[in-house]
Amino acid sequence: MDIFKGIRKVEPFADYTWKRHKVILSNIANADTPNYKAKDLVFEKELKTIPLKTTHPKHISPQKGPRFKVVEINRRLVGNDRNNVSIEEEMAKLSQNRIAYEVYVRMMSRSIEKLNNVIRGGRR
Amino acid sequence: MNDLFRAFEISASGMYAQRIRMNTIASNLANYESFKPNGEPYRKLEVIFEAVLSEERLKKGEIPVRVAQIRESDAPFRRVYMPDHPMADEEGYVDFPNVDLVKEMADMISAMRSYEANLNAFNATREMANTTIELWR
Repeated sequence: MDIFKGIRKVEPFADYTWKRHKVILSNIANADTPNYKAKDLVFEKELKTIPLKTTHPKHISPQKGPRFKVVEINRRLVGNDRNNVSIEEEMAKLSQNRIAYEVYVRMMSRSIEKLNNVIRGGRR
Repeated sequence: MNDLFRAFEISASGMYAQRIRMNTIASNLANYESFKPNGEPYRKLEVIFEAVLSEERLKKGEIPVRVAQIRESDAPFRRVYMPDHPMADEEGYVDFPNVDLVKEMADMISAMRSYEANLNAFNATREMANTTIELWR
């Protein structure tokens, strides 16, 4: 039995939102950079990873690589400097993403609390 | 932990770049009617931003900004008829710096807003980091 299952489930999402936060920060920092194209982080299509057996020490098991990838946002150019960052949209994404992050972190802390509760045997 | 601080670095780079831009705008406004020590009119300063890109940074999506260059604008000077001016030529015209007040003011507002956007993003990062640290408790 995996007692940390609750945390493990949330972990990739917390990781994703934190990384996406940094991409949004980059867009905001480069809002006035000529030729800069706005970027976003997306979940990569889940690779069909068949659980392969490794019967030889030199066999390589399919690695759990990064599950997200950075993509450029296709948007009509908003400036004559070929920069397509829309600062309003980035700020909106920033606060939306932040709330999502806090939800995930709170979920994690909730499952830690539950564990604590079990460890104490339900006593205060 | 490094991961955490890089997020601050990105916003800080944006704030720094906008501050440099603000400084050049202030210089341009202050030198609206200045001449260089060699008698030439002052030339408007322009800041050029550049995204700090590398293969690795692009993959992670962590792209700070930096000031690539501050250059003098080669836009034409303002020619004003002022025969009494010590810098006047034979025809009585004076070449004044190529600073455009309206443009500078518009640029200033743009720099201010961008700075504020970065500052807000910075605060968001700080609060997010705080909630993470509270997992300790």
